[in-house]
Amino acid sequence: MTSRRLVLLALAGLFALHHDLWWWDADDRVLGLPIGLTWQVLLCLAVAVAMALFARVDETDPGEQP
Amino acid sequence: MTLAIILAYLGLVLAVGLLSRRLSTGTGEDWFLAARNIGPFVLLMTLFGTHMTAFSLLGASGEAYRNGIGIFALMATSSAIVVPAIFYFVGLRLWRLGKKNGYVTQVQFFRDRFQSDRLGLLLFVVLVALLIPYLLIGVLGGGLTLNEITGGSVPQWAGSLMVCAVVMTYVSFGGLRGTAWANTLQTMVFIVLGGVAFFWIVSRLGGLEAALDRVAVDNPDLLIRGDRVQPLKLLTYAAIPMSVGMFPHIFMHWLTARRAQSFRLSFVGYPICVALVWLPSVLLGVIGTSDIPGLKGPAANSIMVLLIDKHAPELLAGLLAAGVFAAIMSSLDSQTLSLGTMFTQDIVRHYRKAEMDGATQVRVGRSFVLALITVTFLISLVAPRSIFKLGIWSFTGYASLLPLVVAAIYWKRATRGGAIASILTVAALWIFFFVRAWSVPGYTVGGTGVMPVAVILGAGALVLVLVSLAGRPPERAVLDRFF
Repeated sequence: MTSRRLVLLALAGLFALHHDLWWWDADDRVLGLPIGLTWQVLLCLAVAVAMALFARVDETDPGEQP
Repeated sequence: MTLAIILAYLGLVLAVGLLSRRLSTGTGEDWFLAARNIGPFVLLMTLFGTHMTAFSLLGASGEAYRNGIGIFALMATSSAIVVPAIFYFVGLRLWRLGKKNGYVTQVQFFRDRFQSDRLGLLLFVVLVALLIPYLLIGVLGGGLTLNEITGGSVPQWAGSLMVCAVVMTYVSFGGLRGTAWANTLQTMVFIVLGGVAFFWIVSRLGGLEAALDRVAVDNPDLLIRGDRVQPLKLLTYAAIPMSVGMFPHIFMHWLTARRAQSFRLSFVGYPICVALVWLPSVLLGVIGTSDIPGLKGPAANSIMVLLIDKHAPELLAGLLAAGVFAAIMSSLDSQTLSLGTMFTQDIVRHYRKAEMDGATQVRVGRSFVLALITVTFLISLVAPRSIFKLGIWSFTGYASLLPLVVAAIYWKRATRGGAIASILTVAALWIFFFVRAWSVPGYTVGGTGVMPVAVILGAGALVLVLVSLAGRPPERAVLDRFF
């Protein structure tokens, strides 16, 4: 799979997980924060990891990934 | 003390902006685009600092005070996902085309891609019209913040004047290189100082757990999403950060990258920076509801300043004020420079019969920067506070134009007619919704939770596709330069 498709898939998946209806009203605390907030912060970090893993940059022809 | 720290900070920013001039080669390309030679770290810091405004510090805590932790998902995570995607799919590709074809502004790119002077002029008018209110918000915000932090001893106009004078000086002398260096310093300052303010206040409140326990008793609904953030609003709000794809000042910074690899750190670092800035702001807003209850409406936007005032020494108050100024100026400088660049390149240089050398272009650019900041400052003296509501509408306009740039770089079949029809559709719908929503706080389409941006963006994209397919395809020779 190309780098662009991997980035697109990863970000689309994270975007879906961003809508965490499953603990919309949950008031538990995880890592010291309300669970809904912890989840969203972890998603931000997951975006960074996904971009580090999948967003390859071709120096000679940027934007046109193999 | 507070004022002394702010003045010292402004002096430091000025010095950094002016020092960068030593690296300048003195050419037009150096002043407008830092000679397309900005490395990964400065690129990340300047893109993040330009995109984040004082809203991320003060507005975010105010929103969290009113609506709880859901604000992080609504505004921060949406940006953390959408913005790196646009940097990767749009920014990188525009950088390549800009370097290959020598573009300095967005309008030059669109004019060339769609072979239309009329489209270029139309887009120029729309882009400038959407950016000017944004500039005004920065100038007004600087004055109001200083006024609040100093307990009213510094009048609003004086704070606005300080911001304008400092930005005008380093942007005029340092051009984009000075702006990028100053932005790097300012971005680091507001990330660090937001964190320092958070840890200081929370420790004074007995730690995070104790502070959240108090909120759980006083306002438990602020620790969940509940009814304060509608799921449909969360979904459609994600269209707002798409504005980054059409901001003239972000386009300009993309073009400054030294190499394609320089972008990589921005893809990875941007979402981390979002979390670092927004988490403390949102938590302080929520915690503030128990510590300083009863703030209504726009008064809640002062919650961070009030918390600092109550718990922190004057030194920290001064540092926080410096952080807020950093956030304001790191956007204002790039916006001003991009407007000056557009007037110089897209109007003066484009419509002048004779060729302009680099030195003349820089002189004209500087004149526009001076004129724009002066006019913005004068308008800020008489503008009503309701002008702050224009911020979201500026984002809505730029976001709704995103299909235009996506089609221009990914869809060979996109035509001049489709592009013009799309811009006109966006403009018409933007005015329609703006008029309907102006006096309705928290307006969504038909009260459904759908943000107007989602409708305008969708309509703009549909018109672009339909009109393009109905017209003749662009010429092969033109397309070969872009695909």
